[in-house]
Amino acid sequence: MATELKKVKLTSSEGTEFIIDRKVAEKSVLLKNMLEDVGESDMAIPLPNVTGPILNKVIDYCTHHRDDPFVSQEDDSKKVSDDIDDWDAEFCKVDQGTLFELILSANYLDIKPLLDLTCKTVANMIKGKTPDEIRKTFNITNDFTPEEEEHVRKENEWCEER
Amino acid sequence: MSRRFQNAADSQFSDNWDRLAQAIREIHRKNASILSFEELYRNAYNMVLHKNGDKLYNGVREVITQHLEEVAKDQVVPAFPVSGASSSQANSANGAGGANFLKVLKSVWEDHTTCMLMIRDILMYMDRVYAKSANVPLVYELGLELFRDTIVRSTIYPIQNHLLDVLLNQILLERENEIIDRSNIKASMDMLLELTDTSAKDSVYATDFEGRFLETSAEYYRVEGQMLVGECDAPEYMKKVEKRLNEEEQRVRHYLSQTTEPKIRSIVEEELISKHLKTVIEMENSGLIPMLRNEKMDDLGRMYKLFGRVIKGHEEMKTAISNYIRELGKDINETVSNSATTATAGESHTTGDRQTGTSVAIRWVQDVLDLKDKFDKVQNLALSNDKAFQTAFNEAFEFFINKNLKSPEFISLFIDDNLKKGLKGKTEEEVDNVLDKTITLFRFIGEKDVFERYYKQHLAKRLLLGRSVSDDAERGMIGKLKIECGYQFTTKLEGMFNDMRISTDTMTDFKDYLEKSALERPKLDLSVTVLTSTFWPMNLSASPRCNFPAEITKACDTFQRFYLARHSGRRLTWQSNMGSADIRATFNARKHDINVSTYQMVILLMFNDLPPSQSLSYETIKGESDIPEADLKRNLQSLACAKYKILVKEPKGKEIEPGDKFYFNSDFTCQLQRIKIQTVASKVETEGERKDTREKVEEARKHQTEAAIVRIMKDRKTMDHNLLIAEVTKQLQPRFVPNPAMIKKRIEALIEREYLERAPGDRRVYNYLA
Repeated sequence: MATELKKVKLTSSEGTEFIIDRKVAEKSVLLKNMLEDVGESDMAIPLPNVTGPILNKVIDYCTHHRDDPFVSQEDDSKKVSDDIDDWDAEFCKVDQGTLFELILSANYLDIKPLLDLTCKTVANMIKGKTPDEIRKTFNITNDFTPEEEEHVRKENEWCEER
Repeated sequence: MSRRFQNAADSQFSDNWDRLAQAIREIHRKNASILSFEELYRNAYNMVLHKNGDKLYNGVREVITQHLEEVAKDQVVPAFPVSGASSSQANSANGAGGANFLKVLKSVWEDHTTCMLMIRDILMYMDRVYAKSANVPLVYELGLELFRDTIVRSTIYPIQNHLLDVLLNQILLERENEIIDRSNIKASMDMLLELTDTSAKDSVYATDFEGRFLETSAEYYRVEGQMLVGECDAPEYMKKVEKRLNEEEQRVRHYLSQTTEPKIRSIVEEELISKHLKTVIEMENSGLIPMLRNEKMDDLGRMYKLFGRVIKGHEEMKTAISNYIRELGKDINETVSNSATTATAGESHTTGDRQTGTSVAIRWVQDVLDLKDKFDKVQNLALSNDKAFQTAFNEAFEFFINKNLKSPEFISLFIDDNLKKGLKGKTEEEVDNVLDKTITLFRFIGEKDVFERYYKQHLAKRLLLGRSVSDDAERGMIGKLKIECGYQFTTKLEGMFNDMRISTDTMTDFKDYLEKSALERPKLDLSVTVLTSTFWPMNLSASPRCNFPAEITKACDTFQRFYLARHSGRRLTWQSNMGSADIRATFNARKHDINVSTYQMVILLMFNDLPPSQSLSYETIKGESDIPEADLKRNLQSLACAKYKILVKEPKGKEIEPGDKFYFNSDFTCQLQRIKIQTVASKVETEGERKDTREKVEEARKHQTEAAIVRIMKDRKTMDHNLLIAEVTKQLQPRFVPNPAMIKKRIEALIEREYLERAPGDRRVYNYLA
């Protein structure tokens, strides 16, 4: 019970300090291990990889989901992308840059639910689009030669809808 | 990517890697507190992100390997126990050196695992992302493998040899009752359990240690077993074995892996129990037989439990006990044949011999019952009522009981004796008890029909001579026989009882009739028992001859008229060899009431009108009475040569010869007013009588076999020879065990009489002819 009330200090890349509950912090497996290994300390944990605004968003997510039950890391069975609830959907209504930063941070901090959520969101952005539309959405330049493109298209003919 | 970019990435990797490598070394030096977790984690993260996971992984491997090699050289090798500590000798000094080595190993292992945990934490990203996709072991597992290969299975230093030697030596010391440090050993075992052998997919404990442990243990216990059987007697030996078994179980629990438990247990059981089963059982003065003889229930119970652990254990015990029972049974049987030979051979009519015959029979039965009691006790107290043992015992009993061809007769005599006098004074419960025990013996008899024949004979005599002690006990016995054998066995017995009851009623009516009628009263008090001939075992239709004096004939006629008036269509035959009479005899001293057999009465009445000085010759008596010779001789012996000499024989002697003369013994005196002349009571049959009975039994069996065959064939219509034999045997089993050759003869007899035929196509098959 004492640990739940314990506060943890995080520092973003610009040096901004964030103070959060230990329970919220432990949604990140990295932070959880770090806290266990390093032990009781008032020192802030530096996160030079994560900017302030992104860290803020991450903390938002963790706080909202603080009471969710811990899902085993090995559970890869749910490969569906249509089970996003309203709050989470709202949470992901950000520009692409932020979205990608969120993915990187979730990966670094090892917060599987957030990583899954953000990746699903991107997946939904890709789903159902033609190659051209995808390029447009993500601002990708087409660097195929016409021959290369023809080759790839032929290879993947079988999954194109008739 | 351009070269410049490439170089920059490389140099960044080198920097990052150097920092990480250094950090790992600090961890190894127990300086972890100066490091920044986050920084190291980020380093690893970046490396993996930039596709240098493989370089990172290999680098980590190298650093750890280097460190472990140093540890091996600097810490483990110097702790090697002094050479000359061979594991086969239990030497305390070597024990101390060994213990120290284990301590060092333990601390080295603990350091390593602690470090690996920290290393794992900072390299978690690599584990998660790189290791999985590259299909390499996770960092912690890698650490274990490196420890296994660099230290435990080091190819440079003989660490494994020393480790195994020390472990086995410690165990040896403990087995020789030295105190050792168990926690040390446990730590080593735990270490071996945590390390895996990848190809065997099992722990290093299983592949490297367990096999040798079991080998050396087997050798140790082999030697121990041989030594102990030489030194100890059976109970001691078993106690020591129990102790060893407990020890090993404890050992496993305290510092070995639970998987080893069944293996070491079966080794101890094999070396100490299986290999010495017979030796222990057959130990003179303390083995199984002496234990049984002296009723050492604790020791027997211990043996039962201990030997039950191995496959052959109970088998050996059962065989030994079974043989012992057969031995004892043989002895009991031999006592009988010895007494038989000491008695005069051939047909002897002296009552003395007959009496020893009966007492032999009764003793035989009592001995067998005592034997049964003894083994029931063993079964109950030591063998936990094991059914398999019970079966073996029963077989042994059956064996020797049926070896004694007279056993049906003996058992019947035993019951006879008990129902005549033995049960007097016993409570109902005690009575029931004795009868129940007799029934258990009855079950063992194979030739139950022979028993039935004897039982009927003995019962008949009891009823007719009024010798039964208790009617309830008699009926109780019949009830029990009914339960065992079905009602057919007992209908005739019950018929005999009924005859007795009806006769009593008839006599009452007869007396009334005499009162009411105006007939002249007979001069004697007549009492008649009417027997239905089919129920009673004697050959009743042939009426033994005897000339009754006139008065007696008259009385009999009166009764006969009375009876036939009530029951028309019946025929009465007087059995003079079975009756008895009470005579008031006047001697010089006083009068006595003598109870004698009918024959004896006839003989004595002849002396009525004779002056005392005159004698009757044997021939005269024979001629006038017309009593059959054998019976005559026997009865004369009872009157003249036995305890109470009513007659005097000239010349003196036990045997009755033609030419003997008989005088009435007026000088006879006796304390008692009423005396009884021993008549033909139930005695052991003479050889001739036995042959007779046997023949009758065989005759009856022939009929029963044929009846069974016909019954079965009528039902099945057609049957194969072997099946028929089997079925017939099964049906006849409750009465006797038929000989297949005999059955075959009966089948052929039936074929001749056209009840059956051989099937036209197949000689082995029979058909029923309606």
